[in-house]
Amino acid sequence: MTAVEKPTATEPGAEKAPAAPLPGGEILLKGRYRLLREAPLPAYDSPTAKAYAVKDNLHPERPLFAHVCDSGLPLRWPFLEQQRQQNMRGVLQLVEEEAIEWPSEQGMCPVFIYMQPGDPLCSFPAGPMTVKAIEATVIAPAIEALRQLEALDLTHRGIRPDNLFMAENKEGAGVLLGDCVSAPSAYNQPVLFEPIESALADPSGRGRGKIADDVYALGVTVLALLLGDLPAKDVDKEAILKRKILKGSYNFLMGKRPPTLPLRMMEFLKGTLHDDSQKRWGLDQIEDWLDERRTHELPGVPNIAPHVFTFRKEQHITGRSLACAFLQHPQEGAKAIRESRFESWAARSIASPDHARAVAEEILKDRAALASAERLVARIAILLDPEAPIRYKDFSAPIDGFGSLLASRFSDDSARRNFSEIIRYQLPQLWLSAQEPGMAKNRKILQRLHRLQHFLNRRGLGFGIERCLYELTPGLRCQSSLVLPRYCANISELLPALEAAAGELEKLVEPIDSHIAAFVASRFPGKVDSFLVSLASSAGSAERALGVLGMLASLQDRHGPARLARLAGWVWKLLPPVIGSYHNQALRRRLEEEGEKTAGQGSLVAIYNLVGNPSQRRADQRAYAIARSQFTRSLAETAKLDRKLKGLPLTSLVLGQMFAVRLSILIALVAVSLMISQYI
Amino acid sequence: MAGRKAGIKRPKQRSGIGLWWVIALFVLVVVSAFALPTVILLMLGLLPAWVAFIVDRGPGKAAGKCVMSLNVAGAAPYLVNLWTAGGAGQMDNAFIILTDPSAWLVMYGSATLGWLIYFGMPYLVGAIVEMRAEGRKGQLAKLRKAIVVEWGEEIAGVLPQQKK
Repeated sequence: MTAVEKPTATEPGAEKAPAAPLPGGEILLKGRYRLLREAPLPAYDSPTAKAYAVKDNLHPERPLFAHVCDSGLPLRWPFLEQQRQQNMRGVLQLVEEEAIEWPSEQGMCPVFIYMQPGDPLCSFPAGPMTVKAIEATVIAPAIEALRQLEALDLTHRGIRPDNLFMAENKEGAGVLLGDCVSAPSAYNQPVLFEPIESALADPSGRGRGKIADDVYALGVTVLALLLGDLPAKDVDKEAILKRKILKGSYNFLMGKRPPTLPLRMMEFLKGTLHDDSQKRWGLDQIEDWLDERRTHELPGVPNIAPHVFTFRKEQHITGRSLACAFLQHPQEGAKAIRESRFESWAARSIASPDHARAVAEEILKDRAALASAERLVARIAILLDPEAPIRYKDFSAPIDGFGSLLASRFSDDSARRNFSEIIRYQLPQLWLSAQEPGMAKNRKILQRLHRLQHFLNRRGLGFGIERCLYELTPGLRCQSSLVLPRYCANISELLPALEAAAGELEKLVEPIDSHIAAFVASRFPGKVDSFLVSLASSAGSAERALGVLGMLASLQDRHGPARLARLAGWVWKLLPPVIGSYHNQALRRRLEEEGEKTAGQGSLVAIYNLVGNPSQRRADQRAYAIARSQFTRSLAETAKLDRKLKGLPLTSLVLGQMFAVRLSILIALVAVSLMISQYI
Repeated sequence: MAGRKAGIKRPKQRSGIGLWWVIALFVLVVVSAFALPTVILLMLGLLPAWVAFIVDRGPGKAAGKCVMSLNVAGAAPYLVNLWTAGGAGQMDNAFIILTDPSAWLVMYGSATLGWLIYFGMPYLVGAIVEMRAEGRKGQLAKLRKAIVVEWGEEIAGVLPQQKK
């Protein structure tokens, strides 16, 4: 449901109708929209989503298209959530969304239906656009869209010429920003359109970024439109990045080009292509520029160190280039760092005294306890280039890009290991300490990192790296093999997926694995800690079965559906140890009889209330303890009686003689008394 | 210390008993000088009690006590009879009593009853104790059976495991 289309127009219940294949290669979405698989729209394709025409059964005249996101990459959830609440001007207008069966490795994949935005702005090579046209139809609408995104604490991270569409509206023609949700932030952006810090990161882990990154991308886009072609199109991405670092973005992109560009546009480019994000133009400055209030800008140049450091026969004049070189050759880099010449270079050449001091401390620490080359190089690289992402082995991302990078490469063992080591070695903490002090959000980030460390250190279902994955990546579909290829991005979609899976799976496995437990733990709004503790018990134990049941019952209680007959049957098969854990035989029989019926009704909540009721379990335990004590006492008393009987001959002799004496004396006394009474 | 204690020679018990016998004989002789008929009657009438005391080697001399008490009860009427006769007729009376078979029957019969009680009572006590113990054991077995029916066989385990 979006701001564009309300479900009031749909038939009742249509919203919940699953996507259904129709004859002729069509797929019906939400009971209303026909996705025409035979009608691809390559003009609207994104690198991570193919575009297809869509027909609206209620309003056939509406021009719609759908992006089918079958890449398996994590979506940009915060942007999507905002778009679901209200569509924003200047970006693609979301109409509807649903997960559908699609012939892809990922099984079901999400589909987003958008209003058709108009023609793509251009496809290179094309003729150069005029300055006036660029100002009116590209810069001004883009700034308006970015202004709105900034107000919502969002970024676009997909501004490039082939992702802009020319839209006509009442105010005239203007560009519309294209797809930015089918992949992680800036995933589809070529290195050319990204600032150096972002380009240094893995494409899937560039992070949310800042509006300044969008401004940079807009600057490169404008340059491409002015030139009518991509600048440096024949240069590979590594070379682009290297030259940007060495020369600065503006100098590299302008190159030795004759100054044919109007001075006004040169100013714009200098302002938007500045490599220092603090000095780069913001939206206010661009609006001022649009209003002809000119400011004179100097192009951004790299921070050149006063001394040269030679590494691998290459002379490095910036900390950034040296950090990159160290990271490319970590063994030799570590060796160079441990040399005294690096220490003296760092003391003289690093601009920030704090960072220089921190480098010296790192070297001292390394001398005290030799660290691995990769770890040392990663820590020194952070201090040499604090604005760059955290780079460790082949894992390179800013903190807010950890989640998407981990999600994109989760099947890769080395990526998972590298992530764990980054967290364990506290590289993000060092990165944060190297940033400008006083960042209010740092405390929150530190708390989050502490939680990640805690999750990694704890074993058992619901913790570990899977928990980090779902905590860091909101909206990531559940990766469990139990629910794949079904699409579960929301916690409410999990139980129906498990219900569907229950019919297919050999019911020898538990309906919760490490992914599902972590997914629930990170997404479920209620408390599931006690169930996670139970899930840490050994497989097949009553405690674990109760943890599984309790967690699923909590989900059903909160999100429904009320009837999950197959899943309840699946869970019921795991419960014999739970029933066996009750000691009272009559209670066991009652639970077995009633539980069978309750499982048939499909209510996990009722099953949990029946067999997992804590007060009932406690009462059973107490009564059992009392009975056990009675039994033990009875055995002890019987043994005592047996011992008594064994020694009975002696006992009876002693007692008998004692009684015999007393009886004899008694009889004698009575007899004498009677005799005396006769005389008296 | 222990060695020193062990080295102390204890006086022989036999010599103590011998001394008691000497004292008893002396007392008997002295009493006989004043009440010979009574002594004769007691010596002969309580003969089973004396025998019982001598043959009973048990720590509490239960047999002696049983037989003595009933033997004394049996002899008591004749003693009273003897004492009530008084004066020089006592010896004659003692002779009459000792020649009366019913007197012997009463005195020795009561002693026999003492022996019967002494020998019979342990059996009686043993039977009662055994009956009571077996009854209690039966009750406990029933209780255990009921507990097993309610809580299962596991409760009868040697070391019942705490269920999770």
